[in-house]
Amino acid sequence: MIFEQLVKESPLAMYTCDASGRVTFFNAAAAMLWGREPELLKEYWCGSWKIYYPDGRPMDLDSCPMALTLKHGKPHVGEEIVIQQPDGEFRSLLVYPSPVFDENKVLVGAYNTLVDITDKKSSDEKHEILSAIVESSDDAILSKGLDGVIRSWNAGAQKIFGYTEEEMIGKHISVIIPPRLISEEEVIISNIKAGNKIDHFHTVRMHKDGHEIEISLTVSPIKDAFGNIMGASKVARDISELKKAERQAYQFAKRQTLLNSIGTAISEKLDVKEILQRVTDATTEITGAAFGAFFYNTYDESGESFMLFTLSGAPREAFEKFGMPRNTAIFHPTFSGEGIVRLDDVREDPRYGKNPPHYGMPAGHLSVVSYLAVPVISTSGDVIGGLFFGHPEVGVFKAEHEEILASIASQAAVALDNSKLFEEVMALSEKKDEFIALASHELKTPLTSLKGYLQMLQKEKGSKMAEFFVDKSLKQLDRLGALIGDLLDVSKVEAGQLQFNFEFFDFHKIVKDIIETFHYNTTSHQISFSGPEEELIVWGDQQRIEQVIINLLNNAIKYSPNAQEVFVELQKKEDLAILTVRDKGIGLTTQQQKGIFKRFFRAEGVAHIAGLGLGLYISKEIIDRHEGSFIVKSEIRVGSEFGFSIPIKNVEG
Amino acid sequence: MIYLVEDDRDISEMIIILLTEFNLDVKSSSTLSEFRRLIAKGTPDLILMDIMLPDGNGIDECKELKEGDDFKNIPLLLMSAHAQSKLVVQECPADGFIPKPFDIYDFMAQVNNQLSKAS
Repeated sequence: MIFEQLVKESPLAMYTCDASGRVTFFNAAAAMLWGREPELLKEYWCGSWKIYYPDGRPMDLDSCPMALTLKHGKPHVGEEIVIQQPDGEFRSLLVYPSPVFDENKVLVGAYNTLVDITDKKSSDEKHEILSAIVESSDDAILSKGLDGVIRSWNAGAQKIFGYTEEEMIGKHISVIIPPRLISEEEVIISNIKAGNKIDHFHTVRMHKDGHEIEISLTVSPIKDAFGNIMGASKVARDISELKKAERQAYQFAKRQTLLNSIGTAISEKLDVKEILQRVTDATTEITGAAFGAFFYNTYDESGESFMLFTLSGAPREAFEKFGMPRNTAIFHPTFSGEGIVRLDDVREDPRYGKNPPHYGMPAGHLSVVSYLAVPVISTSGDVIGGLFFGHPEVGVFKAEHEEILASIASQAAVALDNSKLFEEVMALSEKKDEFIALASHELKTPLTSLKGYLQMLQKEKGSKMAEFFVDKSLKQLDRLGALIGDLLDVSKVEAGQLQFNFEFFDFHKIVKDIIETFHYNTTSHQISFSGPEEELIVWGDQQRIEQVIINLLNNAIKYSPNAQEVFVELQKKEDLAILTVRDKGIGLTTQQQKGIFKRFFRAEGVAHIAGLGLGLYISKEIIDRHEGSFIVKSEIRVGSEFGFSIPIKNVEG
Repeated sequence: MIYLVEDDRDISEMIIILLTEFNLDVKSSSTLSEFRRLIAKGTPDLILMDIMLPDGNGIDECKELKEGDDFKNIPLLLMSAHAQSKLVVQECPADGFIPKPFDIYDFMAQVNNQLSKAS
C-alpha cells in the first residue's frame, strides 16, 4: 500500500506502540533519530537511549509524552523533549503522540511523530546570543535598508544618539547625520550596493539634542536569503574619548617639539632681546594665552618698577599707554621671585583690585581673567623679571603649564646669564680692537718723524760707515712700519672694517714691479718670474693685492733661509688670474697647513724667524674679499707653494 | 707759502725742516681754529692737513674748503696714519693723500707736483 510506503520511507521519524506501551513499529527515520533500533514488543514508549526534559533534567520513560498519551488516552502534541543518542549526541525533538481507539472506544495503541528541531534550536540559540550581544553592546548597532530607513536600533545606539528604538525605527538615517556631511550617506550606500564594507571610518554624527559626536563607523552589507544586498548593518563607536586622547598626545608631542626648539634656540642665541622674545613667544603659545609679556625688573625712585621688554600676542601699543605694573600685591610674588602665580579668575583673588590708582585693571587694558605669572631668576639668584600671561576666559591655565614654564624659565635664565657673559666678552674684544687701532695710530706718529730725519740724514752723505748705518736703520724702520700696519689691518679685519677700493689694474705689471723692488732690496734670494709677458687686467684693490704678493714673497724668503731662489709664476686660466710663489724652504706639515691662515698662527720651530703671524691672516681676508681663493702645497723640508687666484672681470663687464 | 695743519709737535717740526731744506716757506698751525685765523689773513699756495686734529676732522674741513668759493682752488693734501689713500680721496675732493710714515722723496714729489699746478 502507498501509505505503508509513505510511512516506512518518510524522512520524519514515526513509530507506534500498543495499548500497554510496547513499541510495535518504527520507521527508518526513527531509528536514525534514535541512533538505535529498539526491540519490538520489548521496549516501552520510545526508542531513545535516554530522554530528558528541555531544561536538562532526565525524564523517566514512563513520563514521556507517549507514555502520558497512552495513560491519559489524550494526545500530548507539540511538546519538546531532548533525547540522547548512544554516541552521546543530543537532539531536541517536538513530539506528536496520538492515541488510537477501536470502534468501541477502546484504546488499542498510539502513534508518534518526532520532529527534529535541533538545528532550529541551535539557530534560535544563536539568534538569542547575538541579540543579547547587540543589546548589551556599548556601541551603536543598527541596520537600515538600501533606502536608508532604519530597521533596527540597539540600546547602545540609544545611549550614544539619545533616540529610543521606537523613535528611530522607520526613520531615515539622515536624522543623525549633520547637514554638512549628508553626502557621506550616498557614498556609504553606493559602497554597500557594490558589496563593499566600510571599516573604521572616522566621522561625526549628531545626538538628539543637537551636539556632535565623533564616531568610528563600520558598515557591512546585509544579504537576504538569495544573496542579494538588501541593507546595511552599522556599528558606530563613540570615539570622543579616543579623539580627545589623540589630541592630547598630539598637543604633548607638539609641546615637546616646541620645548626642544626653545631649548636649542635659547642655548644658541646670545642676544638678550632675541632670547627673551623667543621665550615669550613660545611660552605664550604653549600656555594658550591670549597674550604674554616679559617685564624686566628694574628699580626706580618710587620703588620697584618694571620695564616691558618683550611682548607676544598683542601689539606694543596695547600696553605702552599704561604705566608699568607696579609692585602691587598681585605682582609682588613674581617680582620677589617667590613663585608661580596661577589664577583661574584674577578678579576673584583677594589681592586684586586693592591698589590705587586703578583698583584693578586700568580701563582699556587687555582683558585678563585667567592669569599666570612666572618669575625668571638668574643662576646667581637675582630676579631678572617675570613672564606674564593673560586670557579673557576663565581657567585657561592648568597645573601642567606651571611645570613647563618653570623649566623654560630656568633655561632662559641660564641663557640670559650666558648672554651677559658673552656680551662682556664681546665688549672686551671690542675694547681690545679699539686699543690696537689706537696703538697703531700712536706708534706711527714717532715713526713718521724718525723716518723723515733718517732720510734727511741719508741725504747728508757722510762717511761710508755713516751711510751704512743710516741705511740699516731705515730698513728696520720700514719693518717696524709694516708690523704696525699689519696690527692695524688685523684689528680692522676683526671689526669687519677693512676697506677696499676696487678698480681695474694690470696684475702683470704690479707683479713685475714688486719683483723688481725685491731685487733691489734682497740679496739673499734670487726671484725669478715665469708667465705670459703681457697685460693682465683684473678687477680689485691694487694696494691690497700688492700687500698679499709682498706678504707671500716675504714669507718665501723668510722660511727658506738656506735656499737662494724663489719662483714666481703668473697664469691666466679661463676667467682666473693665478699667482704662485714657490720656495725651497722648511715647508709645512699637514697639521700646520690647516692652521696657517689663523690669526697669530706661528708654526712650531720658527721662533727664530721674526714675525707676528698676521700676514697670511690678512692676506686671506683680502683674497676672500676679492672672491678668490688660496691654494697651499707644501712638503716638510722640501718647500712650499703658496698661490692665490682672483677672478678676471671683463673690462667691458 | 705752504700752510701746515698738524697737531703733533715732532712731526710738525720735522716737516718744517724738510720743506725748508727744499727752500719752501711754511707756516704751521696745530688746530683748525688757528688755521682758519691764518687763512683769513692770507691764502697759501698749498695746504698740508692732518686728518686727526684736536678740534676737528681734516676730511670735513677739506670738504668745506672745497665747497666754498674762497679757497676751493688752493691745492690741499691730506695726511694720516690711519685711513687708506684712495678711500680718503673718495670721501672728499682733496688733491692728494700722504700716508704716515712717508718717504721724504714721495712727500716732496707730491708737494712739488701740487705747487707747480698752482703756478
